[in-house]
Amino acid sequence: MNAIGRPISRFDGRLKVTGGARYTADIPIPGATYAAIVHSSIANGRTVSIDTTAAEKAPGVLAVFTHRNMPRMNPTPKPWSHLHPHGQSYLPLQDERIHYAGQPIAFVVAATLDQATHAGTLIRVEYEARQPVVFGPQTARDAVDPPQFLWPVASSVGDAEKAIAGAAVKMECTYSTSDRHHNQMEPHATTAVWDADGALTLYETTQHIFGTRELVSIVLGVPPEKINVMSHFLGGGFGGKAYVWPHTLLAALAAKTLNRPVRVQLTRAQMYSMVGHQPATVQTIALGAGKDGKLTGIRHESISPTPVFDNYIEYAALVARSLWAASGGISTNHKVVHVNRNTPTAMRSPHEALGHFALESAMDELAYATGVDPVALRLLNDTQIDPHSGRPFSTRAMRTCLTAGAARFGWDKRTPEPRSMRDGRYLIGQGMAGAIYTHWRWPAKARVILKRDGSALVEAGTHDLGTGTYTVMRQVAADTLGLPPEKVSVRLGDTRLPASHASIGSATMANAGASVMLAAKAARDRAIELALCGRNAPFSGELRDDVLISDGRLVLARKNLQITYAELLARNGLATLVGDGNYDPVEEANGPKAIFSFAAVFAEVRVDPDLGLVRLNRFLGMYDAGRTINPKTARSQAIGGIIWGVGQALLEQSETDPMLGRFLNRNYSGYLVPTNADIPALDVLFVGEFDEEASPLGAKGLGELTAVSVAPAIANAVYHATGKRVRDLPITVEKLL
Amino acid sequence: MTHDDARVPVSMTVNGRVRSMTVEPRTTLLDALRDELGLTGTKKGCDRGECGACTVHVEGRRVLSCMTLAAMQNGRCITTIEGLERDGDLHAMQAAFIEHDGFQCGFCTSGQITSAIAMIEEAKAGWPSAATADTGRPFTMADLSRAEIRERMSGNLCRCACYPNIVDAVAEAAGRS
Repeated sequence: MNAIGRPISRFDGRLKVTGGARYTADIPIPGATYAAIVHSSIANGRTVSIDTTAAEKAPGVLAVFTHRNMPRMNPTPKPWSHLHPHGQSYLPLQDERIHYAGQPIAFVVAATLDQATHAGTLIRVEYEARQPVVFGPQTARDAVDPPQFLWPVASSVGDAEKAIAGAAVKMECTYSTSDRHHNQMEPHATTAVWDADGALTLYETTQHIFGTRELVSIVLGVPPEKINVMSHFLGGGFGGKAYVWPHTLLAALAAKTLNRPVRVQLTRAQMYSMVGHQPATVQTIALGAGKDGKLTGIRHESISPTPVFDNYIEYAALVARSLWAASGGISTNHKVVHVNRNTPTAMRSPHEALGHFALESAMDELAYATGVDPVALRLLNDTQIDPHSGRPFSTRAMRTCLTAGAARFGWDKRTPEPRSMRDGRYLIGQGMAGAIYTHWRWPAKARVILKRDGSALVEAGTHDLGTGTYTVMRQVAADTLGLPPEKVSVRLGDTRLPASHASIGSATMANAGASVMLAAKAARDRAIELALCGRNAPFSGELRDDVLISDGRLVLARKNLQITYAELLARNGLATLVGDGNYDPVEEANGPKAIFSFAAVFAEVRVDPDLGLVRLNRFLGMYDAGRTINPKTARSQAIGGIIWGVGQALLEQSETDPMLGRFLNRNYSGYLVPTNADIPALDVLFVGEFDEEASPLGAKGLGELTAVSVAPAIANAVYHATGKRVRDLPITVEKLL
Repeated sequence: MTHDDARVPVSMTVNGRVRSMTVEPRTTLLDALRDELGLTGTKKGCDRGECGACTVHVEGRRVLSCMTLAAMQNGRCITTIEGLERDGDLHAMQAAFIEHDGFQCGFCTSGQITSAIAMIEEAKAGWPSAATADTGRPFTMADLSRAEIRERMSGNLCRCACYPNIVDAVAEAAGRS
């Protein structure tokens, strides 16, 4: 029985429900010292003086680092790359300048955390402050063209302007989204330990152990082979732990200077300025269409803030390049505004979740302008050719997602007029949206070790962010080796293992998973080789293609012969049999097919007409993410993505003080995330098929896809319920009153 | 704030064992469990009583261990996530969380499970919640609907957002208890 495709419970489940899973800050380190970070209270200027006298004398304090005594760092490499990924280029405690509020200005190390924290409060700072530049309607006018980051900044196919100008129906609207913070449950943490030979071990909350090793190597000037990074369990990543942030570098250098292990864990408030966030966007969409709703032109432009020292681009307009066909042309562009803030970063689902809010809201407006049903409008503009690259899509089950989703949701019972559906005194609204998500193809390595006891071990330098990697990699190896999954164990999250890519962009299953499959195949092939021509070979003289693998045995059915892996290894005097997997795909952009995941999502909301309070009644997501490896963990990722989108739609916003330029609501009571009481039953279905272009496993990305288009589906439902079109997220009560 | 680091003795029963230690007066129960006793299953998510990841039982009631000082717990009985197994068998709530995939990253899970176990005891004792329609009559276990579970579990945030699975797990365990 195949393990792939079965709803297997997580193999690390027992560890996680008993408190036995050790996250970064749980790992006991003999002789560990504790660090506290002191931050600038201004957002722009410089420190004139920092008096650390009292702090240095406080009980337990080992050292107080400021820009005066923190060792110098090498600059971060340019251009930015996933291979050596700095969170931000401006490095901590290197000079007296202040570029953003909450910038670290001192790093206190003491015997206990309480001692370090208390000593930090004794530091006195004098500033020379200047008025900070804050992102808003005024500064958005100063937007500039940034240099290329992940994709080309602008794109143009056909002549969108001409198509829109000549269209029978045309519309142009501006949509905006808020600054948001990841707020993973686990705060970022680092423990840095140097040994006597100058080798560094970093216990790190990271989605990218190898990238961390490369970046730390460059900035600290330590050869990468002398650095080991470990991340066995991660308490949520969502993109926010994919790159290297200042606290990691500070802990490593402080530990080296003091010759003691140093542990630092960010406080909840520090997670707003010490690590990245999702920047706000201001997006303009112009659509041109025929009276029948068929699109002739799309223009999508986005502006987002970035710090004075970096050019992070939130590629919100990326979505318009490939979601729907437009006969006359599609143009997209991105601009940035340099302001006093720390560097934004990828946050589930970067680029796409923001762009979809604008584009799929605009599509709903077009549906009402033309009188075409929103589902029918999308079916009309569906395409099997990627409008951006001209390549056919590898697989695109958008049509199935739309039609099957609408049928299951009961879309035909919806009356299209706004305010036409009610439940008692509540207004009921139903809205939907389509979704597309980028597919990443990255190189990955893995090793599979067959052991003499008949079990197997998978070793791969990838990560389990809660996504189920420990479980799905077992399933992949088990099926390839013909073993029950219980006989396979998995090691991840250690740079001494075969190198893998960052666990971001929903790429781990398709890429790291492929490397595990290849490694298992290599181990299996070596076993078959031994059975055919090893010592006392049981299948001597037979054909390789006649050998089958089942339940830990190699079987030659024709002659009724079989041998277990265990016996085969014993017979050949081998303790282990090792297979190496090296998955090295061409980049998606250079392949013959355009590869994306797709979805159609449907929301029903209940709005209190007097209070403007929006509650989600029900939600349905129909997903084409290729082949589903584990329906149980996949469904969990999907409901998590939907709820992540509910936060974007209705709750989450990091508010900035317009004068002080600092994030104000730096905690869970000010920054609202969905709670259990906010969430009804969710309906999740997978309709994807094996996509051989996406991965040898047939899987496409899922986790990020599911957080895409939740916000526009809810916003469209709110319009249907109330007749009010909210073009600014989140949809809070005052916008409906 | 104190400027010396005088430590105070405290003795509590943790997971059935008497544990004596000295702590700084400002040390929270959470930090004492993690740093003094090595019981790192209890997590620090916010350190200010907003997320629920640090939930433990004090005398059988759910308590946010980041919001109470270790020095105040002298003589008390405390149960953490590490103390729920019996002779190697998982507590029904732990098993239900695995079966229903009530977690992804697992960081909030210790708090979810300890909170859920105590929540069921609250329901058994007849405590109403903000979701209780009729507070005029005693609350019974038959009233513990999904809406009640959602409301009563909303002090425990889950950013992976396994909420529907958590409700499934808690409902199943409540039915068996």
